[in-house]
Amino acid sequence: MSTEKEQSRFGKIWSNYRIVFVFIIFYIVCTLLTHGKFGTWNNMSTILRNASTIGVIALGMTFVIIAGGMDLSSGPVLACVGSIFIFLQGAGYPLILPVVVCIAAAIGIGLVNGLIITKAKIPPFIVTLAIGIIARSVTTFICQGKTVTGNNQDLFVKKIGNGSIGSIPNPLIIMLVLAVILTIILTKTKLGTYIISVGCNENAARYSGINVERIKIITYMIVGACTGIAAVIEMSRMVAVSSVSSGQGYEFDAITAVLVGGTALEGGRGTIYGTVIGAVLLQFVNNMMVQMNISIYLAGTLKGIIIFLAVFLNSRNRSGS
Amino acid sequence: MKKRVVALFTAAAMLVSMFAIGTVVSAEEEEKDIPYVAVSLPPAENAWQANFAEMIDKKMAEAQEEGVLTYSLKSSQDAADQMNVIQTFKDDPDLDFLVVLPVDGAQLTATVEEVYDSGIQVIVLDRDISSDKKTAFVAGDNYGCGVAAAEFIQDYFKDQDEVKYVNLRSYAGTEIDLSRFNGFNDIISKDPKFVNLGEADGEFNSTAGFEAMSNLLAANDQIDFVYTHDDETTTGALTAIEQAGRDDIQLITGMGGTVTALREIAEGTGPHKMTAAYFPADMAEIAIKAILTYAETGEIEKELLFESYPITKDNVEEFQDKAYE
Repeated sequence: MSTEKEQSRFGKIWSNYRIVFVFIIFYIVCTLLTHGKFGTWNNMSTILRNASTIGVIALGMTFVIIAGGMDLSSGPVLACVGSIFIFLQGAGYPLILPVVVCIAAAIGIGLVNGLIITKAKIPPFIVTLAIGIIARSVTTFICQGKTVTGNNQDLFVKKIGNGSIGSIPNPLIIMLVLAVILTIILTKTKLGTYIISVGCNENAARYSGINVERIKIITYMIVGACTGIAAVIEMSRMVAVSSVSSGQGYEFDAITAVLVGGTALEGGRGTIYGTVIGAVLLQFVNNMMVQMNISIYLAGTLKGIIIFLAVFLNSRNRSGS
Repeated sequence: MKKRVVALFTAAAMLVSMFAIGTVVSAEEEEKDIPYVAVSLPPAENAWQANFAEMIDKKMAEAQEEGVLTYSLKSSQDAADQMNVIQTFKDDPDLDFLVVLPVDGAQLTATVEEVYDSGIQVIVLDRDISSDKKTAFVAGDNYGCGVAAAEFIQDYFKDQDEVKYVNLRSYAGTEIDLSRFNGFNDIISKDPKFVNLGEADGEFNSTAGFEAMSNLLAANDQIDFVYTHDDETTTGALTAIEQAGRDDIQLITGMGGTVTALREIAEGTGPHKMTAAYFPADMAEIAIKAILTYAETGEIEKELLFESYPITKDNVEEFQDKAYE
């Protein structure tokens, strides 16, 4: 009887924190395969730093996907607001101005995405794709197709993306703080409940008196804010923006991180900590390629296998639970 | 009298018409002498390509201003789009030359062959097609860039017994990547003191260069030099090295010729001490010269490979005006 109880308790823990177990399994396997080198803090801090930009976008993306939406504009928007950041920073304005303008511009683009999706009733896939194409084109125009460098003698701005507090990389701290705030919003506030309700059943949410359009717009503004913050991290690393390669494919990496983290593509279900782990797992691939000196041509294969395994392990018995 | 007037008027009208026709014909002939050139480019995916697009447009416009050619230029998003663009250019009966920098040489081979077979002269730039059906192939020497870097590295470490290095490639497996890789590897791999610790993809940009290098740094405690295929990748790798506080890396080489790279080489304070370059402005100029030579003489060399320059602190000032960003 007690064994059954223990089994059911373990089943519940496994069911609730599946992605954490998946992460631990991957961590142990990778560490064993590299004779301990993978698991060192030096290596892990590299992985966590590199995961932060995509991770921050993915945090916002989690809200959009839980609410039943999708944002394909995040990568180009990162480049677009990043170019504004670089121009203002390069022009010598106090750092606070480029940071605020960059984040505000990204929130503004999120608002435009949300308004068009809800008011014009056009599917999010099409709206955000179109906005992404526009954002990339505007970036190319602003930068005239070049890579534009800001004031890279400013060591303070470099600290945002490259510095650490103790041995913890700054981008990781930003991602974790944001993750805590967004977890509170998602799980402890009415807004979070409304977002989940809209994603579960839009009509039922509407009949319950929830302003569905408003909730959807807010989710696009949240992903906008996260993209703006990610742009600040990314731009502060290199103090340069490339009109073509900055943010390239980030939207898909962010969506992948969200899905690997256990958020349902159909909406209504997901966790912030799952997304953080999803983003870190994606970085495991690049790191393991180097650690194990695997042929560069097999990067896609390894990435595919890890995504498949993570989603498979994370979704086992979901229907049963 | 009336008849005379009519006859005179008719004769005058005929003369005027003949003169007019003659003028049109000679104008047409004159116009026919000026070659009409269509330029098809890939998307500007990196600083080199962006600068090349700017340079060829600028130099074509200058040539058009001088009255030696007329041109039309179009960039494409991908190979399929470029195929459509080239087909549209081909349907123009006035077209004399197609200048094409393919998104992917192999994928565009059939389309370019079709254009060549229709009597239009085809100048292929930088990325070759898998066929001889082209008037000329103009390219920088990517293999030579790899050789130049390897020779500089060999000389730099001539007094060291064992040298450990990592390789930052650029879209591994593409033609440019393989040429630059082979040029370097054909020399370095023959010298047993060079130990390859690993490689990652810098994807022709600084963000990918940063991430690739940070992983390589975490995996290897001692690296003597970094061979990269691109200056923007080098910029990212240098940031990763600086951020990791590593002082074991004595040398990093690049390729391309960006403003940042040339500045770092000129300063000479960090590990970035060499880049190998062929400049967009040079390629644009050679392509236009090739067109004008062929238009005048009907002859042209089938393969125009122009030299790559090894740039070090000793000669960096010579190239500052050609650097791009």
